[in-house]
Amino acid sequence: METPEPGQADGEEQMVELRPRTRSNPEGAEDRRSSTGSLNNSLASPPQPAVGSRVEGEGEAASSDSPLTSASAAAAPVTIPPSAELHLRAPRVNCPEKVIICLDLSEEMSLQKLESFNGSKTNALNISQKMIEMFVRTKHKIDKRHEFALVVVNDDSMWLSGFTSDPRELCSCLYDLETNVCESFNLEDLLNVILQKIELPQMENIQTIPPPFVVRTLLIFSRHAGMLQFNPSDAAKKMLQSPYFFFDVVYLHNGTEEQTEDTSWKDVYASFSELDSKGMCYCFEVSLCGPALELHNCMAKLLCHPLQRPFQSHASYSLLEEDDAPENEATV
Amino acid sequence: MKEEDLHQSKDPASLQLWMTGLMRPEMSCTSCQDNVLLRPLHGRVWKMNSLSPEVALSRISPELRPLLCSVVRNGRVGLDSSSCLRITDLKSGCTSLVPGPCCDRFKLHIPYAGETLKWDIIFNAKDPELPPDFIFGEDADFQPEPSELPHLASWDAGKPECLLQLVKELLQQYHQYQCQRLRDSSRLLFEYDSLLEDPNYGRSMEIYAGLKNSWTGEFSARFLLKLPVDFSNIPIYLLKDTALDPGEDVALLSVSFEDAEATQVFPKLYLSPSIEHALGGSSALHIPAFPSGGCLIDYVPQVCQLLTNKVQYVIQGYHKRREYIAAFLSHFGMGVVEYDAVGFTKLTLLLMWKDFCFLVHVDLPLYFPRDQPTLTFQSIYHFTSSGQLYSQVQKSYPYSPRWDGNEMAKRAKAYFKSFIPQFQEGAFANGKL
Repeated sequence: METPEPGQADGEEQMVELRPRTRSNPEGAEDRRSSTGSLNNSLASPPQPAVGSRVEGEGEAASSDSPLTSASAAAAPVTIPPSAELHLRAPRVNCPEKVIICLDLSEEMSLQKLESFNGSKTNALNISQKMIEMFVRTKHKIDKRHEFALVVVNDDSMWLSGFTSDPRELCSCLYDLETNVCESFNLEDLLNVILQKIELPQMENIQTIPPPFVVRTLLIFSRHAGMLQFNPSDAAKKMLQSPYFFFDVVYLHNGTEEQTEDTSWKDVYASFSELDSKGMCYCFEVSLCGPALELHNCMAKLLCHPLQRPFQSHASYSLLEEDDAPENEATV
Repeated sequence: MKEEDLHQSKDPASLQLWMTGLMRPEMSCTSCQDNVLLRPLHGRVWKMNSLSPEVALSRISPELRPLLCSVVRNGRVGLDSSSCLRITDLKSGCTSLVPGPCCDRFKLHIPYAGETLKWDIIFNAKDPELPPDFIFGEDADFQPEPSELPHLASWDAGKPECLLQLVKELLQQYHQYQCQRLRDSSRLLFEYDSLLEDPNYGRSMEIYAGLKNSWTGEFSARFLLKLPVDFSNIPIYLLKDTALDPGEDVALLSVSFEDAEATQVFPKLYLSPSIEHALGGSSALHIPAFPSGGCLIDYVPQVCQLLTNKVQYVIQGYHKRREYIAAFLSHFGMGVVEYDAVGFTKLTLLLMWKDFCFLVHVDLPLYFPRDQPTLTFQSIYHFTSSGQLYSQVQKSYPYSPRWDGNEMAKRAKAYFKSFIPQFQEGAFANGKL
């Protein structure tokens, strides 16, 4: 834990992002390069287990975890930013979050294919509504400063409610929604709608001074309108690259069997991942034909605070692991 | 002070203080006719007709303005450093032919030993170089020794601090004068002398020996002591939360002797708002009653020790909580949802058991590890029948304050494994999906 990392002193971030071991970085051990010293991406299992973690891909992790292993075979690794860019990370402080929940209202959301707990069929909209309610209520219970907003996505995006710290206010808009046939997905429009409503913090020293809040977009998305046509404006690019902005996605797809066009769901999924230039966002894929449990569990994982959660590939929630002593002591 | 007077008060600060209940009637000043409600340590208390600093400064004669400025803007003279000096009755000795502003005399209200002294300070606008005259309220006997007043002997109207320093010196003399009056009671004089000898307290005392009650011949006094408790190691996050301006972090003990034989003794503790908050709120003000037949030189160290212990608890609690959270992050770190990275008072984990996801919210109390953390288990799938999150609180699970953080984390994990199956069963049986 005390060994200084080569190259860390100059503060430059490599593919595996190294963070200073400040008081607010208890898991400094997490950011180690692989033992070969190569600047490998996060797809390679880190040989030094990060504090308390298991090697990725083990056991209980749901299939929706670590999706990059499958996607990477086909496409170039998507989380690696161009090496010239510096990606500084904010300290791991639980500052208030402004969470913008973006709910796709395309008709795929109301297909009755998801298998609920009792075996009956339900639809993604139904489950999403319940899980969004669980999400905002739980976040509010954890910290009353968190704020929420609701955006619905049809052909265009519309800001329905927020920001509010009262979960009931958001939930009151949540249940009267209907799906409809959508032609296309306009990601630029969604980002513009968001841009108009937020102002990201500008901090003098990103790595040591915690921001007053962070903004997180949580997109629940299910349509299959092909690859994302995306030509971001400068403002949108700047927003996506800010260390205080996160774009989390839950992508509900029809599964691998249906490959009607050139683009399979994996390509769509990969293009979402490309939005994540910092490697810090969470991106899940869930099958619309599978158990609803998967969708529930994804939303639960999205509860994690973006500044304090591990990299998605490192995340592990299992309680059924062996009881061994942690390799390193964490410092907070 | 009548309520309707306050409602008409133009000073929002005093109205707010009233409404928050911070004005405590028991501290009403007995020497003041208007029954001023006095609450030292809780910001400014404006009497109805007292002037805000800006108004006073605008009306005073320009040559005198710098002198008054250093008094009204954060001038503090006594032990109670959070209470400001106030100005009332600003008047002028000039004729009405002289164009204003030309006020050159006023009453200065000085908090002292839990009382408020009202001294008249009289300048001469036509001769602003001269030092002022003083009238010390009803204390006609108080005759300070000019040789003990360096800022009077070398009065320099050009130095803005001069008046403030002179008031401080006068206050020291006043304190001596009050101590002299204690000679009327040998018992109280003994109390004073014994404290004076102790370097911990001797230099930070204010004594007010009240007038003898002409009916009963009874004599009373109040001692105000600054307690030498070290607050410097209290974690900063606990101190910065208060919205009030606390000034210096201080603990003051006020002891009222209602009779000369010290049979009716009433101690009271005052803490700066941020210290009070850091030590857990108003419960931090609880101190033992003054033992009958006891004396201050025994009692005061007791109170100091009590406070010091509380401070130690709080400091220790902070470090222990930090260690606990570090250990939990070590054991469960890849499933952390959020944790309090400033005060380490809470932590939420996301765990999975056989595909069943659940949350554990951990709340760490101020006096951890003496007090056990509360665990709240929450199912992510279920609501209650009334639409709330489905959760269950556990306050008594296997726990010992003697375990270190690592041990606590291990035992907690074992507890989770044993408890989760029944929690899951309960959720599916009683919860709404």
